[in-house]
Amino acid sequence: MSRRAATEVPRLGRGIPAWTLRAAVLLTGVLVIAIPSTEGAMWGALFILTPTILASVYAPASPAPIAVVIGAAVLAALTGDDPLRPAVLAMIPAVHLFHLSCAIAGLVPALGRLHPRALRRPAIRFLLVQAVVFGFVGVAALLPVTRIPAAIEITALAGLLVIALILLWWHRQSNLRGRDDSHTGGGAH
Amino acid sequence: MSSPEQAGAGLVGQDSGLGHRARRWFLGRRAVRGLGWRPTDALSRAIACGFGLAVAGVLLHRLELLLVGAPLLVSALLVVPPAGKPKVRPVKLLDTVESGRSNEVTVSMEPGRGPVFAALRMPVSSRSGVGPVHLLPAVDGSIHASIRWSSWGQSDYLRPDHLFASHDGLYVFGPIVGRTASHTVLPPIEPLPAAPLLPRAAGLVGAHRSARPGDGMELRDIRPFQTGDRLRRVDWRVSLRAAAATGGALVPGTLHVRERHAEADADLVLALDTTIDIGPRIADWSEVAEGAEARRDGSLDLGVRAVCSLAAAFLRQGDRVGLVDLGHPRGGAQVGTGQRQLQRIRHSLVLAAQRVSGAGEPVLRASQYPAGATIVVLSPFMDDKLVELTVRAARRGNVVVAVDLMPATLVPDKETPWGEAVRGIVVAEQKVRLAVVAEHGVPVARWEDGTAVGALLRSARRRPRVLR
Repeated sequence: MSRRAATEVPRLGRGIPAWTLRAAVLLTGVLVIAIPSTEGAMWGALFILTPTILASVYAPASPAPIAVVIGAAVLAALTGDDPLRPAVLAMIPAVHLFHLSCAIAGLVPALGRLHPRALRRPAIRFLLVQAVVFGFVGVAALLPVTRIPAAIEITALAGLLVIALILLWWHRQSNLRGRDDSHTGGGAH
Repeated sequence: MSSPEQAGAGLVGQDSGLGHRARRWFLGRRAVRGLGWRPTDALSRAIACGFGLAVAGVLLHRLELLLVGAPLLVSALLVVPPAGKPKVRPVKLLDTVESGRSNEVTVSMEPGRGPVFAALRMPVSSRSGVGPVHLLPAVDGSIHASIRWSSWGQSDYLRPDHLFASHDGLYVFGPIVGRTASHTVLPPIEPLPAAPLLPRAAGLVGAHRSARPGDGMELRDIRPFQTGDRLRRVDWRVSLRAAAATGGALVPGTLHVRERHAEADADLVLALDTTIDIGPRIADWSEVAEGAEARRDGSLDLGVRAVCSLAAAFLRQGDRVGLVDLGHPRGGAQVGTGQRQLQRIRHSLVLAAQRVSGAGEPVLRASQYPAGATIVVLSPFMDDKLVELTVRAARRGNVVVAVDLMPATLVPDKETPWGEAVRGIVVAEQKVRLAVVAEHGVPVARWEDGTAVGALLRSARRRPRVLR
């Protein structure tokens, strides 16, 4: 839920060049390559991820970042046995940062201006999401490593499916409601 | 009863009507999709990667897949789709502003519930135009941006294109193209020492002393009374002295009157060459400048600034000043006085700068300026026709001063071996034209700060006019 800061009346300064967001995409992409490289997946990471990262820098609001996220997850799964090893723990915020920087970079042209105070709330939200995920990691670390019964796995998959369907339905309803609210054309004047 | 052909035609018509309606429905759906809040690729990525990696992790028994996708999944679960209609309202500035000054552009923003980011196009003070897109936090209130008008002309200063986005850019509203706000930036006025002008002979009132007698303030002569002289002009002190010298009686010949100079107004006509706009680089002369602005540091920019400064200086001392647009005879401004005339001339200059095409013949007819007016022709003198017009105006009995607007140094075209030769020919031809103008009694000066032109006008006042 967004929180409006009604008291803040900004005076527009110069800001920083918006291509720094593209640079952030590149930087986090390099981080995503570097982490599996430390576990010996140097060439694999380079061949699989480099073109898609460059495509993400060029067009952050495109399907290219999906390939990076999936590629990074696959490399993390293939390069080690321990699911909670440091490389995987480092990959979690790196991939999230990559996803986030692509999402924000897609909002503004590369020749625009970025005002750092716009990143304050996304930074807080990033920390919140990471806290939730590392809470899961903590729970996973405490669970015993045994074979899980098939019934529990099927239940988990069904649960995921139900959550996904509820989420999609909710977004669709909200989206339709949002269009009804603004069906008059969205003109600014 | 209808024939089979008619029935067939009706069926075809019904089909085309249905097809048309279906097409309209499809286009309408597609148009609606672009309005309001809509999900982005980031949301698709978060849901697809988050759920996909979670399912793959469970199926393949790889916790890494689930953990790497978990932040995206949590991010998608936490987001609340925004609602409402964000609004951006610009606060309009004046239609006419002064060059070289600065001001604030204000845009009020009402993002509504949900937006976190606002991408808003706003001007910046370092460059002209509507400015880049700024990524800002979406907050209620007004956003102020400083704007400085360094160049004159008709220009757009604000177009508040905007786009709002929710957390992590998962939903966006827009982009919406804002309404363009434009205004006229008047050319600057540089302080200039005013020079005395020749008074116009036909003037009855004005700021300048005329050579003929009249009702002005300045004493011209004390002479004996003549038939027709007004009694209020009698100088009693001189008359009584004269009477005392002849025995104390006011006999004919002792009455004296004070004769004063007439006061006449002066007309100054500034004739600006708007057929061409050239800068220091010869290679750029054939290019037409983009937009309505004149070429920076070009002949037209220099000429417009000179006209503004001359007009302001002479209007301030009460003279009548007019503008002749040599490229467009219908343009310009008739001679007039006062602050409003100055604004009229400056607006005419802005309009004249928009019509520079680099072609066409200059026009300077006698009907465009009053008889006896002082004419200042401002041009780079790249056309023989202009020399002819200037000389013809001088032959009509007007005081004419030529102001050379050619850039001080010309840079030859480096891309051709003939660049230096072309530069030499251009400079030589222009020198010949100016020499011809000077031979016909028209003084020529380069425009620097107006001092040279002031000196020319002063010397022209002293010089007897010769009709050839």
